[in-house]
This record gives sequence, structure tokens and C-alpha cells, in this order.
Amino acid sequence: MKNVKISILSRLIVIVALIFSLSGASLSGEQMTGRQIMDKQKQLHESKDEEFKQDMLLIDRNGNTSKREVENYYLKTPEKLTKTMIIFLSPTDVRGTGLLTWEQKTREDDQWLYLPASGKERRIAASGKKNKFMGTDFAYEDLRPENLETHTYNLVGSEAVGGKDCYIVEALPSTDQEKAESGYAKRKFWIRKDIFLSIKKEFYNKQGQLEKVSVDEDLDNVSGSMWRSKKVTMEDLKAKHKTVLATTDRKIDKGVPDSKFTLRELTKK
Amino acid sequence: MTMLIMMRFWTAWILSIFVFLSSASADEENPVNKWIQDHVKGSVRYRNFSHFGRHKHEKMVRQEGILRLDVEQTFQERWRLFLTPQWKVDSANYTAGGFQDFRDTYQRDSYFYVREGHLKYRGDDFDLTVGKQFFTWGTAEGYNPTDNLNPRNYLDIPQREKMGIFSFSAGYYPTDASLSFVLIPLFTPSRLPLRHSRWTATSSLGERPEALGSGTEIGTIQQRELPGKRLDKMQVGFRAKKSISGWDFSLSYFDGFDTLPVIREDTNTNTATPRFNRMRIVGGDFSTTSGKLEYHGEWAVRLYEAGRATSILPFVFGGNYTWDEDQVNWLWLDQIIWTLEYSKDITLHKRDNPDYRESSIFTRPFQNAILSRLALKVDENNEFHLSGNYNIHRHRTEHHHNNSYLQPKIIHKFSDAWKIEGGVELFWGAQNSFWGKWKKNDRSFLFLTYLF
Repeated sequence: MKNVKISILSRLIVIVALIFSLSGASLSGEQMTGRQIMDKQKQLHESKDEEFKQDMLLIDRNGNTSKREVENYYLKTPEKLTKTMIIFLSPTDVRGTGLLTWEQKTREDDQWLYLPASGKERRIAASGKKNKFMGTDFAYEDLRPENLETHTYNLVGSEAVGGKDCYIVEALPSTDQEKAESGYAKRKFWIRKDIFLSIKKEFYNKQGQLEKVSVDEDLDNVSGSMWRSKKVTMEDLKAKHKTVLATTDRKIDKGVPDSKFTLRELTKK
Repeated sequence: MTMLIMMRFWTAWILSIFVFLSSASADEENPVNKWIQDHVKGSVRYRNFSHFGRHKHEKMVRQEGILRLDVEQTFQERWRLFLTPQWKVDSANYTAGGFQDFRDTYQRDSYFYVREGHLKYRGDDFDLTVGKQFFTWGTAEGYNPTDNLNPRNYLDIPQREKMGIFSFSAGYYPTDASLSFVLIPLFTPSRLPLRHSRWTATSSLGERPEALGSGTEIGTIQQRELPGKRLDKMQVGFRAKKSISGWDFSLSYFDGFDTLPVIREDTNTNTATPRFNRMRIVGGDFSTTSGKLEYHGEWAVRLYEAGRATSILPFVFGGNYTWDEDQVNWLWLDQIIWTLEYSKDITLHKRDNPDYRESSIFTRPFQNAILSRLALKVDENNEFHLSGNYNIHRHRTEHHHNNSYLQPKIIHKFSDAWKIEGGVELFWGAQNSFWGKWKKNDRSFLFLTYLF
């Protein structure tokens, strides 16, 4: 009788353990919402500051290429707003051109452009999010950190990309302003389940047509749980034009000072 | 003579091509070549101006060849040396003489010229610079009333390139602000059109050069009287700039000399002597944005010493509006930027010194003017620009007639290194109005640039 009781108890323990293990699995995986996955991605991969160089290779439909080199600086302020600085190192006709952006919470972002030929920095109206960035296939909005508050995120499935299991999360603009300013009706992210990093994105235009696809490659575990890709290829399917971004000399959370994001630095004065 | 000019022209071109080709193909193993590749950039430019009308002293076509290098070297992180030597030839004799004098007072360009050259020390929140420098003050685009530190090269009026000035400067950079101080120990005048060039200001009779645009015809123009090399002739400038809540503001002060002369007349000897007038300028500017509109304003109180010229308050207001790709792609364009500015100047104190005449239409070109530029970007390699200025004068006097300037221009990039620009420049107005003086100088232009 005692053995029967032990046997029933052990079975119960196994069943309870199984239930717990299954519920645990659902918390870290299939039952997560799209927003939870995006939150997790942000939590794992967001840095305080970064600096890196990028080679931008522009490839047109005939295979003609042109190359641009840029220097990027990024800072998250204590107010959780971003400051970015982009300086062109080549080609010669744009060398020294710089763009400084201070994100603002309650008003338009501050943005200044420096053109060496004019010798002075000019405050400019913030670039339309939809605009292509300096002839590349990246729009300005593609290069900014994801704003989780202006989108809704839905988990729409799972798929393996490059042998790695991924969540597919759909991002839809949720505010009137974002709907008006964004060039996209929808974006889809393929986010690796093991490291919560987007490795593929699809961009759908306002007519709902697939317009661009970006693929991240050469992933690098830069520190702790933080990963970055060294190579991103963005392809404009309609224009048959491609931009390959290769990142080098990346430094993360090394303390880029606030003074780096000033007009003095923009003009190199 | 023509033969000699053409020989100089082609010698410079061959030299240019040799320099950049040898640099481009340099063996990277060689440390000298490696240093050149890392620290020396530059450009070779060919410029052709073809006038539609004949001129007594000049040919229909003027050609220029310019080789410019940008040499940059940083020492121990904080020291930076920057040099821009330039070699130039032209077919209309605007260029003569091997080297420029230190004070840069020659009336023509020279074959070899250091356009900019300075040494800078960069501290954490300050810097100190000594050498030939460019300063760009003001937020307006077509005309900057506060930008008075550098002289300009008016040998070719529409080009009116800025000239570097030997100076000491210091900058201090607290949060979101900057304070700058400039000391100019030696005065350099603007380079005026040559007496027998197309760009000499002519009288209403249209033939005889005026005394530097003073509106009078005087027998002999004496040599210029430049301010002396003394402590009390030094020039100083100060500018404070701050960004607050989406606005950029600045205030500036300049105590120095006008780089354009006034004329001291001597009726007994029928002579005119160009002199440079001391002035004090208090100015300010702002810039901000609202949606796709950037708007700005700039003003300056320009007070002349001893009533030798009319003290004025010029100001400019205007903005830039941008239409982005999604708004203009039905026109097969990537972007349109339209700049529109209105400029006026107010007389504060009329010249009351009877011994002096001022070249008012030369120094006050935009007394009631609209300045505009429309930039149409077709794609990364093709742009069309339409720039113009219309000066309105309701009460027409001898010097104040409606007059205007228009420049349509096409820019095409063959590659990252090769670029071509071409267009026309057209002038309208009565003979004594600002642009009307040069209404016989309508021309086409073609610039070919190679960057390396």
C-alpha cells in the first residue's frame, strides 16, 4: 500500500514538474507576445553609447558600385533620448560632410548639417523619415533606434533563417504621426530565438507591397548578451539597387562624451 | 603674350595631372607616398567663361586652371596643421606674379597662393588658432550682413570668392554654446576688378571706369592708402552663439576696416585716393525650424567712423523649404529645396564728410532685394539649380533702378571624382544699377572638377 502511495506521489511530482517545465518554456518562447519579444531585444542589445566606422557599398542594377565611408557616434542621454553624429570620410566630394541630430521628446528633433564647401553648419528641417540616406537604400527611419511606443508588434509565426530558429514579428505604426511620417505600412522582423536579435527585415510600402529586404550577417557577440552584425545588406526590390553596410572598429559603452555631439565637433573646429 | 599665357596655362595643367596621377598610383609601401595618400587631398579644376558680348580689353572667352591641395597633419592629438596651397593660371591676365605678399595686397591673383594655412591647438573645451583662416558668420544664405572679417576677390564679380585672412583666433565651448574671438593684426583689402576688365564699374556713359564705383569720374586714381601696420590699426571680432529649445542665436561685434574703399577726392588735382574706412559692426542672427521649413534672420548695425560713409542697418530674413521624395517623385525628382530671402538696409547716418565719396552701389547691393535659389535634385548624380536676385527700387534715382541677376545651372557627377557644372549668368538693369553695370557680361560657364 505504502509503495502504491509512493508511486502515485512520484507520478504526481513528475506531472507537476512537467506542467511547470512546459509553462516555463511558454514564458520564454512561444507564448511571448510580439511586444515582449521586442522589449527583450531592446533590453539585451541596447547600448549607452557607441562609435564605429562603416563602409557603404552602393550597387546598382548594372552592377556598378560606389563606396562611401562614414564615422558614426551614438549616445543615449540620461533622459533616454538619442544623440547621433555621422561624418563622411569618403568619397572626396562629400568628405567632411557631417550630420548631427539631437532627438527631442516634445518637439521636432534638432538637426544640423555641415558642408565643408560652405564652411558653416546650418540648422536644417529634420530629414523626412522616408528619405533615402545619402543615396543608399536605407531611409532615415531605418537607421534610427526602434521606437517601441509608436508601433504595435504582433507575433505572426516562426521560421528558420540560415539554420537559426526565429520569431517573426510584424510591426505596424500605431500613432497618427507615425502613420503619416513613416514610409511603411508594415515591417516584418525575423528575430533569433536564442539571442533575440533581428537578422532579417522586410519593409512593405503604403500599398502593402514588399519594397525592401535587409539581411544581417557576420554576427558578433560584442559584450555580455549584446550582439551586433558586422554586415547588413539592404536590397530595394523595385529599384534593383543594393547597399551593403560593413561595420568596423566598433566600440560599445566605452564612454563617448556628450561633447562629441556638438557643433564644434560637427565642423571639426 | 598670348602664347606665353597659353604656355603657362598648359604647364600648370600638365603639372596638375602629374601630381595627382603620381599620387593616385603611388606605391603604398613607400612611407612618403603613404603619407601623401593619408594627408594630402585636393582638386584640379578647369573653368571656362564664354561671354556673349565683346569687350574692348578682354577676349570673349576666359579660361582658368586651378590645382588646389588640402594638406592636414595632426601632432600629439591636440595640434593640427592645415594648409591649402593653390596653383592658378588664367587666360585673361587676372593672374600674375609668382607669389603673393604676406599681407595679400596684390591687385591680381598670383600663380602660387596659400589660400588657407593655420596651426591649431585643441583643448578639451577651447582652441587656439594662428594663421590664414576663413570665418563664416551669419545664418543667411544669399548675403550675410555680419560676415565681414574676410576680404573677397571681386576680380570676377559673380564668383566673389572669399580670401583667407592672417589672424589669431580663440574659441571656448561651454555646453550648447560657443564664444569666439578673432584678432586680425594686418589689414587685407578686397581684390577689386582690374581697371580695364569686364567687371570694372563703368559710368552711365558706359565707357570710362568710375572711380571705383563712386559715381564720379575722376582723372587719376591714386595708389590705395592701406591702414598702417600699427597696434591701433588691428581689427578684432567677437561672436557668442547659443542653441536653446530648437533655436540657434548669435551676437557678434567687429571693430575693423571695411575691405572695400571709400574715395577721398581732390578737385584741385583731379585725383581720387581709395582709403579704407574704420567701422564698428554689432550684429545678430537666428535660425530655427518648423516642419519642413527652416527660417532665419540676420542683421547688423554698421557704423562708419567720422562720417566718411553712410552708416546703415542691413538685415535679411528668409527660409528654406524642403519637398521630399514622396512629394516630388511624380516629377521624377528626389528632392526640391527652395530658399527665399528678403534683404533691406536702413540708413542710420548719412555720410557728412565732404572730402569723401562712397562706392554706395558696390557696398550696398541689396538695399531692397529678393534673393532666391531653387535646387532640384534629380538623383545622387544630377541636380539643377536656379539662383537669382531682384533689386527693387520704387523711387528711381541715378543709382537705384530695378536690376537683377539670374543663374540656371546643371550639375552632373560622372563618378565620385569627376564632376561637371554648366550654366549661364544673365544680368539686367540700367547702366548705373548694381547688376546693370554688367549687363553686357551675360555669359555661359563650364566647370570641370577632378577630386583626389
